[in-house]
Amino acid sequence: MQVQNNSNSEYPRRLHYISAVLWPSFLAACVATMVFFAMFDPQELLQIMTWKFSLSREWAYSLGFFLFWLLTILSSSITLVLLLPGETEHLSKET
Amino acid sequence: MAENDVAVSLYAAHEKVYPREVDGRYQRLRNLAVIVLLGLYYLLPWIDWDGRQAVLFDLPARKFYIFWWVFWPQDFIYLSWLLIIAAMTLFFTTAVAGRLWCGYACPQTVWTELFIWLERWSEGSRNQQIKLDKSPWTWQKFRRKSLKQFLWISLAIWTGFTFVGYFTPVTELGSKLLTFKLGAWEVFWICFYGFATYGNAGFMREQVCKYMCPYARFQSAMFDADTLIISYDAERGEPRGKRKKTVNPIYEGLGDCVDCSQCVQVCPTGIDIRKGLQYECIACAACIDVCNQVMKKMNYPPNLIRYTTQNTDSRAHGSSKILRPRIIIYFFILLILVTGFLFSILNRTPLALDILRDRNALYQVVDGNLIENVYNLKLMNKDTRPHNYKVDVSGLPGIRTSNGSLEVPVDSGEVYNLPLRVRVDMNVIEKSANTIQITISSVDEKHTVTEPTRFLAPDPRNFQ
Ligand code: SF4
Ligand code: SF4
Repeated sequence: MQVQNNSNSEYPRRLHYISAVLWPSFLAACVATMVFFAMFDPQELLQIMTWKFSLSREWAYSLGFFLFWLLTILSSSITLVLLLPGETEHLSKET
Repeated sequence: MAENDVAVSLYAAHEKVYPREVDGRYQRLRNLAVIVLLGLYYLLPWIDWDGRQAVLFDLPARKFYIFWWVFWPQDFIYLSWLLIIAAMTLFFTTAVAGRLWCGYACPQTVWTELFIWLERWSEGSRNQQIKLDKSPWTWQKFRRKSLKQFLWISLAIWTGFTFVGYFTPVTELGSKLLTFKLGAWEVFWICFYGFATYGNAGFMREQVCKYMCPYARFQSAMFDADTLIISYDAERGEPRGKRKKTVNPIYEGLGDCVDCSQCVQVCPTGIDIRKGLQYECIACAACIDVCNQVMKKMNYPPNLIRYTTQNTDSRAHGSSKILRPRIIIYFFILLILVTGFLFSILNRTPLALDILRDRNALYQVVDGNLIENVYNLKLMNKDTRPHNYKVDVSGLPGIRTSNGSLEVPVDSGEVYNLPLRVRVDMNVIEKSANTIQITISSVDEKHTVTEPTRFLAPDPRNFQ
């Protein structure tokens, strides 16, 4: 079904990019964190690590979540960069 | 992108949408949805059940309480199942009735609505808000703006607090908050969630739907010509134009649309529904309500803007089908998922058994003619009460445990490690690898699990 798309000359483009990267990667990180920590208990993981240090479960979950988020942000940003047209045109003009 | 180009687009004025307040059938429905959903959200953590919090995702202890159920990480399948059901429900309702989710139930909409209420309460109606924003800073403006910020921020903090209250006992959290003894991770998540609410519901609002939400982009894949949408009856409304109430529009060559632009003013996403179906439309039906008020004032029939489907709309078809293959398929998938879920959750045995073979020896010969295998059992009591469990072995003639008849008490939520020695008379053994069953049952016979395992013995040919 045809849905009109009269998007957005007025919306700040950089904000648009930032939010389009942050939000989906946030959702993906939530899912990843849930699945990961349902399968692995951080306390057990810490025990088998070569690097010994202690961390409460709450911190381990939080840390895990942000690591996942970092990863998904990275992946989303790379996708964004690959899809941006400007950069390559710019380069080809210069070389 | 050139540098100044970036600067321009970064600072390009985004026009703030000031949705006008509206009353009507759908607005009342939306208010109801806001009150019910947010009421649930804010109150649920405070409900007690059997001396504990009714809904608590106890992350440190790795167990989830949901009323009479307790879930463990091993029950993760239920959670994923539930998520699949939720997704299917969303597909189904979207195919039938369009963006009902967006208009009435999405947290983005619901919290935005609440923030708008507070904004109106402190800054006044749409026109007063616009005037206030244009006016220079006065004491009055400062007072109203800071009242709004104060309300917004308090609400955001309470929202973050409630969020953390789902993961750590909320009464404890409350007393820690009042005595300033919150732990670092609690403070962090309260602020994180509070800030996200404040930003999304206070400032981003319709921009979340327009630029961030994946669902808004997927909708066209779930829509078809029989899906309920909100649309303006252009055939009836055009040509639009202002007129006096007393004038018969037919003589003026006008349609029913009086071009009052009310439908644009009430729209939370700031679009003009008269331009046709647009992906920004979250189907909140505010424009229906307001347009009906206008029609009533003009003594015109209602529903110039209304819920309809493309097929009804294009007069060629004239009607639309609710039961179409897509709907029927979605419905049956949903039905199967839900019954399966209910069935398995109602028949869930709150007891789990893991059997590990002792790694040191395959078997031992004891007392001259008995073969002994050693296992390590992990018994997990997933019930909310403690239980005594007894262990039975079967599968070979005369099989028994060396521990005799034993009964182990396991507390609710505890994992009990039980070393088990199983013995069989050498003479009855016919092969070197045998399958036996280990059964654990609670003394009251309510819960039973049986797991197979291997019983190893020396090759019978070698000793006969
Ligand atoms: S577009 Fe997305 S964020 Fe907006 S109301 Fe719909 S589901 Fe919610
Ligand atoms: S066009 Fe109407 S239904 Fe759609 S978002 Fe605007 S007010 Fe709501």
